Amino acid sequence: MTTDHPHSRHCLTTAPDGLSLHVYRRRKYWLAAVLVLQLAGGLGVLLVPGQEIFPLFSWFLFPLTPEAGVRYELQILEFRGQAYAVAMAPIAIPGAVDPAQMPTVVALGHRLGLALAVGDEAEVRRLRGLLEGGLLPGVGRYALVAVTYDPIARLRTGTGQVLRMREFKTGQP
Amino acid sequence: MNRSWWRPVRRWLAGKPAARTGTLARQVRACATAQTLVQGYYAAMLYLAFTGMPTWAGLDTARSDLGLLWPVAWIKVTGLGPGLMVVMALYLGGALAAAVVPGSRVCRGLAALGMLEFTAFDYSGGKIGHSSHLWVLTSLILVFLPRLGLTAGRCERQSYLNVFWTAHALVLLTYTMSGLGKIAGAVFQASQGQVTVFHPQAMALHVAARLLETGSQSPVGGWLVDHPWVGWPLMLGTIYLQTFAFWSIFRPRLLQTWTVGLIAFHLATFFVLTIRFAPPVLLLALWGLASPFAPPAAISGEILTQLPLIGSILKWWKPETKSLV
Repeated sequence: MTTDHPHSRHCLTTAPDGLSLHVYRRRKYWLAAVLVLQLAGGLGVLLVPGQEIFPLFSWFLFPLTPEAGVRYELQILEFRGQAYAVAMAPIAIPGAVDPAQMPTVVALGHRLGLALAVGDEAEVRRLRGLLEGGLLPGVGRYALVAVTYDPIARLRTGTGQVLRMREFKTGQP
Repeated sequence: MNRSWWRPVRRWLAGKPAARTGTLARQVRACATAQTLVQGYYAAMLYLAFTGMPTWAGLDTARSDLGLLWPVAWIKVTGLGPGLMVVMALYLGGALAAAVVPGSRVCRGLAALGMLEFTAFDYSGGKIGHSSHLWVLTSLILVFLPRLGLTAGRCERQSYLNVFWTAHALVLLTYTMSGLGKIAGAVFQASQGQVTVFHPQAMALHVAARLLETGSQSPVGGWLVDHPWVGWPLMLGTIYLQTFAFWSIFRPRLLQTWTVGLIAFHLATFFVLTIRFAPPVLLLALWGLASPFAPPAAISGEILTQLPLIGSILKWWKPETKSLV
């Protein structure tokens, strides 16, 4: 494969020992095809929702630089029977979301907001199914809000302009 | 593959070849190292399976049968409890069998299937995770390792090395894809008049957005937000490291340097962004630091001239450095 490691060109030019030249070459082409498939498949799944057909993935991690704009977020209104007068971020309620699942919940919340913004109700139902199916245990009511902010300013000051889009009751249409 | 176009591409990627001395002896040594690394790979997989056991108990309650990925779609029929038992048995049993008998294709197949099933279950239900993908993909490739007997000849040994090389190359290719994704994203954002990943504030923006998203605390990340000029070279270095990772598999003198760089990148993403990609670090360290393709000792001058872009600039600026290659 490389010229630095002991690539045996001998085995291509001298009598093969046990493995036929034809089989050896065919195997090499298949292996090269694996790498081409990984690259082509990874780019191909960019066209699929979620950009992944497991285990093929584009590996486009953090491709876009965040900037000031709109972000959709979940806020909890009722948890384990207790209603909150002021909507709470999932992070702020211990036990509402498994910390390891937080990036997933955040990403699904953002996708839910995008679906709501374009009126894609089928996608809204699907995303709610994923969220309510095990990622938000004990959450009775929650809302989706659109937050307009600059990431650095919000990290420093905690402020942003918030607009509530819709409220949901877990398990109810 | 049409060799008339592939050969110049390979030569361009590999640079000037090293002297072909002691090829057969080097091949024998490399193959023996690769076999040891394959056994180490399955021992590491067993370690991953065993250390993950405490979290298995909660997996069936944390997942619903909604959104199961295709490799575990059959669990809808068996139910979560029994299905999870089968997945666990396959994962732990397959890893153990392959660690004990790595030469058996059946055992390696079981290990690959177990890894695929467990990872698919773990990442079902909408969960976003990619830290085990490389183990899934490499275990699938290693199934195709040929059997090496005591009388294995040059072709069998080379065939074994080719499979191992492909698995390692695939690992590095994913980093290159990640780097190219950032460059493609920058081109798109630049066309929209937005801030790109090459902007001095890009690292600060990424860190701030991530910390807000996860609600996590990172003293290092917070400091980088306040000092964007420190984060800028780190971001540019990351893009360089990722984009040319695949290059290093063609230039074995660079392999260990690149491996250390990628491990440092993963450590940095943990301390800055609180993202822990532990399984790839294990894989990189295992195969990259002890690579059968890397020369025993590489001179720093040689490494510099082999670097993508930088090496070309050095050769242009100081032509005498060509003699180091």
